[in-house]
Amino acid sequence: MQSFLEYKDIQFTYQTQAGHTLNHINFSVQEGEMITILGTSGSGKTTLIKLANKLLLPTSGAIYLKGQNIADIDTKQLRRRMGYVIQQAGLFPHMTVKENINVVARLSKEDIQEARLQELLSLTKLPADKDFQTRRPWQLSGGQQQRVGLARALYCDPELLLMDEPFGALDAITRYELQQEFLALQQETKTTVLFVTHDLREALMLGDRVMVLRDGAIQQLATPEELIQNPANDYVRLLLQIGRG
Amino acid sequence: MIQYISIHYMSILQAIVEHLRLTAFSLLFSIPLAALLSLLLFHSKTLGAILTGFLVVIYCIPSIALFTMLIPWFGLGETTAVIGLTAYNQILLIRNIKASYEAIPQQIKEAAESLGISNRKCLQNIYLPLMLPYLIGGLRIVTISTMGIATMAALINAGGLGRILVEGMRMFSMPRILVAVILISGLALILNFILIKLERLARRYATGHEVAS
Repeated sequence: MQSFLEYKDIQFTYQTQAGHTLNHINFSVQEGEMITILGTSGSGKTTLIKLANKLLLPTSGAIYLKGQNIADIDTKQLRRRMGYVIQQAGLFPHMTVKENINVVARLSKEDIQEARLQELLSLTKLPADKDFQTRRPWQLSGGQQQRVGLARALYCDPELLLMDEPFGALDAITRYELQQEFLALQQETKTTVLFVTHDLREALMLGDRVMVLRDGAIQQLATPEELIQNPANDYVRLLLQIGRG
Repeated sequence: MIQYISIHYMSILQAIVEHLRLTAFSLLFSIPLAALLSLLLFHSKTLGAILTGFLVVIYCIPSIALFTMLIPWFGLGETTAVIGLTAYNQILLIRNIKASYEAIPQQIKEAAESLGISNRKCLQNIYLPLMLPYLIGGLRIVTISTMGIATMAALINAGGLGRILVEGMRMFSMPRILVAVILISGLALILNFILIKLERLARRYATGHEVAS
């Protein structure tokens, strides 16, 4: 069976750094699957997902999306097929909530679908009233900003959602609520997700499979149950011990 | 001084208009040229380093020397002055454009890039509104600097308030010198005030704070 997304022997080196940031990365993702990528700061998590939408280009190796090398896909087209959510949401401060969500359609002069906007506000549990839609990012709470960021990423109905510690800056309660809501949303939409986190609980709760990354190398890629029962090495065992208190 | 103003008010008004015209034309040419050069520099670091070095050298040439160097090609008068002032402005504007772009938070740049829209649309609709307060801030400095340097343009027959100043120095006429200095400083202060207001408006727009909380 063809994988939905496949990283084949990916290596990545930043020009300013000696040594590889990512080293011989090989893994594949099935359609509708959510992979959580777990690791400490500097382990290469963010770099790994930035390669998928060509924000970074690999030093060697190739990434295949539905069997097609992404190097052969037009960058704009590729990015339109993917949603990207980051820690501080990356909302554009001069735009309203509505403008942030439909920014791609608006700037591409495509039809802005009011129904889609309402659907996304409902999916992300945001108020649908006009007053809310005309607010600016600074007028929103951290949780609302993340929800708007998620709604924007979902606007074009992406095949793949890339999430870089999206709930990392939120308080514990809001974070838990958003995790639950996102899990329900992902199960409803069946979107394929690469989700970066440094939080073990989050990785185990959300991921169909969890990838443990250390110094740019995959330590283990397994279901949460497998990971807990059979840690591949001492590092994964230590990570589990520390993470679970 | 009052007597001088009452007799020569038409000549003073003409000098003010000439000075503002010199400044306006210089900015009119400087801004698009700096924008164009910035785009080129954005794509080539080597070219950027060479051109920036060249523009720094130009900036270090005393204005009267630069104007004199341009006379063989462009003659005496306003054209030479505008070309010289435009050349001076480039390093300030290019540095300012670069700093404005760097002031955009990295997360905004990544979010914008990941949308899959063209670079032009990204620049026009996302980056420029966020860069605007910094760009106006830079423009304010360049405007004041141009107002000052334009005074020297009188020495190459380009007119402006420098003409009154030069006359005053030649004739040891304090009223002329005072009128010129007060008017140059006054105009610079007025433009500075207007641009500060514009900068604040742009900042409120860029941060979404034009909406009442």
